Amino acid sequence: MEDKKSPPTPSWGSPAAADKTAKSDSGGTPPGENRYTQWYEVQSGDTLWKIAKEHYGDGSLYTEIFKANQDVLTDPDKIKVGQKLRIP
Amino acid sequence: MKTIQPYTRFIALVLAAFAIAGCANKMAPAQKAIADIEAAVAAAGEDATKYIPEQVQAVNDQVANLKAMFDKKDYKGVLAAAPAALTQAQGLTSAAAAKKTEMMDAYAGEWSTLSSSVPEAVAAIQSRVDVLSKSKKLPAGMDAATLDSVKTSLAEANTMWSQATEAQAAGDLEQAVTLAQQVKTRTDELLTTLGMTAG
Repeated sequence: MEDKKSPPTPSWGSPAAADKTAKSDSGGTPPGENRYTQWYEVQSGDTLWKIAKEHYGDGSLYTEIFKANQDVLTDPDKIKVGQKLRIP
Repeated sequence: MKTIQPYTRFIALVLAAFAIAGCANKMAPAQKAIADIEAAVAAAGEDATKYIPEQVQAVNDQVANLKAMFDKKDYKGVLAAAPAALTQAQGLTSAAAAKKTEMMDAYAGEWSTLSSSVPEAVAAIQSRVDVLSKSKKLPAGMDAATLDSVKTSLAEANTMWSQATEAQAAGDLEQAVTLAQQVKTRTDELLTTLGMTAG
């Protein structure tokens, strides 16, 4: 997990953040998935904490992302570059 | 001249009587022709006014013209123009029914789309709001007041959606779609506020 003190780019809610999330879902909405589900493609150096901090402003909410992606994640500390994660 | 003058007067009176009688003979049919057209418009009912207002207005304009002609005692003119107006008036019922069917089909298609997408948008927004409500520090671009307004707006959207589904269940597809479109507008605004996009 990333240290709480590390300053992630505070881009949540900005058009840039929305674009980044949307464009990461290059494959479109999977069948049976809510078309409004927000997706994020894991980048090099990402952690769930960092992703949660970016989207929610609070890294400790990484558990929400982990819970929403238990079909692809078994360990919150193990995410892979290129993985597409739901951001609830 | 003395023998011819009374005879001429008699002929003039007879001709005048025929003219008056002829006029009276056309007055009643002209009156009936106008009444028939008005009855046909009335028979088309509210659906015609609702779904084909321009066509109803066109017939009503013709009725107004016919009445003006009638007032000028141009009964012959009324009788000449009335059949076309009557045909148009009698066509209003079927035209309204066809337009109504067309619009109901369009509403059904729209409802099918909205009844699928709107609940998904609401669910996604609710999910994000639930998580943000747990956040100790909201992200950049979001503050407590904005989040509160999102919650309020989302609650209103949920209420409107309930009304839409109730209208749909009651068979009022037009009202259901109208409300659903309002909810769609609302959820689109909320998605933008939250920095979310459709998949």
